[in-house]
Amino acid sequence: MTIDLPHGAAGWLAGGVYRRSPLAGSYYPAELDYVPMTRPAEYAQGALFEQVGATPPAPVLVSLSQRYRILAELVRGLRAGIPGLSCVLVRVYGPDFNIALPADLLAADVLLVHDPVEALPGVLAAGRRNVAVIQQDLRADGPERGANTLAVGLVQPDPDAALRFQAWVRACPLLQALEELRVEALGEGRPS
Amino acid sequence: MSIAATCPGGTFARVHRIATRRIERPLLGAAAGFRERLDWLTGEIGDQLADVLAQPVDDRPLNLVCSTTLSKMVSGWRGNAATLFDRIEARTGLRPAGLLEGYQCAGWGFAARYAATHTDHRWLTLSIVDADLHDLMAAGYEDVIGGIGFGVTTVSLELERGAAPPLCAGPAPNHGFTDLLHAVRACQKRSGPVPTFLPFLPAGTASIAKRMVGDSLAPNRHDCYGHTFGSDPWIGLAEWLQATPPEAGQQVLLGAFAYDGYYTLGSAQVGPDTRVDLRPALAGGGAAAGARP
Repeated sequence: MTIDLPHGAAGWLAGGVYRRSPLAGSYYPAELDYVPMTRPAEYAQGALFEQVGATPPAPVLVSLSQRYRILAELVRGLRAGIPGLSCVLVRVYGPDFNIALPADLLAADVLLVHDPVEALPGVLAAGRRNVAVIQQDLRADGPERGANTLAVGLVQPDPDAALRFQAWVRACPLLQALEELRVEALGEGRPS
Repeated sequence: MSIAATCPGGTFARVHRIATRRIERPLLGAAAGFRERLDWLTGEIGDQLADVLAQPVDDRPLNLVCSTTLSKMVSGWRGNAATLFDRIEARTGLRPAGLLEGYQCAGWGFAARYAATHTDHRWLTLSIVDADLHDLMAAGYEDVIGGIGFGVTTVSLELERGAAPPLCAGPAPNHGFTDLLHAVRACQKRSGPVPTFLPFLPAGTASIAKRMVGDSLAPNRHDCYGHTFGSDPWIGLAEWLQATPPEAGQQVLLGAFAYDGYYTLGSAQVGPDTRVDLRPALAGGGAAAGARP
């Protein structure tokens, strides 16, 4: 998973894929709901969500609230670890009903958006630095697509923030649980 | 609970235009497919946005799409979301900066807070979009939350730089409904009652809102629209502006709460120059109804 930055922007990205749940080891509710379907046309629409093909879909590894918990923990880690963090753009799509977002994800320094990259230009045009981006396609339900990838980026980092970001990645259990974890520079040349 | 903690200070924006169209189910008729419905929806979002953008402004707006119910086949499947944005951009020249669905019905408030806090945009357009692209949200959901409505609403806002953005909070118990009403009361204590626009609600719940807010609460249009998710307060404001156009600047209060306990409340300014476009409803068979609701 990578992030295409707007022209002229640079940053750092750490990302990989989960092959097993980073929260394994305890029982938890699946939290799966059902759509009250009764008509043939409704079942036909439901079938549109099925994933058929030569490659089986990635397994569902986390529940809906566990996905929120992972994202909230990453946001808290970024706040604590990155000096001068301006905001965190987090990939969340929906609708997910009956599972409340945690307060950390509703805070004013967070935007929950279907694609953080689409929102980046507006923030960067305002001259913001140390903008964090969380991309994820963690599957929490059968109708969802995704490959269980997770990536955290820091865009337009100040020099100290870039160093702190890399240190935070090394110390973050959720990121260290990723397989094929890569930390790489983004954009036009390495950030200063 | 202190007033300062629950009432946003000042007006966060001037409302320049509201366009809205109600969608009767099933969208384009029972035989329509997902792609056909998505195409129509994209066209309506683009048409409304193009009309709003025809109004000359002194800065390029930020557009954010807010939804409660849009299918995960749109918001979660990257190809479909990109197509939606590509088509809106092709129609209007303005690419949305994001689709906000996690905040459910309170999304427009969180969008305005984000625009005011993290961008330098002075103009914000909100496309509040709810449509049942699968014709799957019939009686089962209405048993839980009462009558459901769908529609597309576009709001053009001039953000008041330096003003407090809308109050956005949660998660709260009771869907955030009680906390929202307390926040409205706090604003009334601070600034006096002003016309207040809240979600359209079933009669029992609406009576609680009426008792809490009083005569400044705009009519509950649930019987006509159902609960049209994030659009409700803006539809209410549009109807109020059309019925009683203000002769001078007027402060109004707009609020929404989400099923999972988030809520937003913001004070905005309207005036004689606020334009309203209440479009004829799209009938369930696809033809635009001749009469407005």
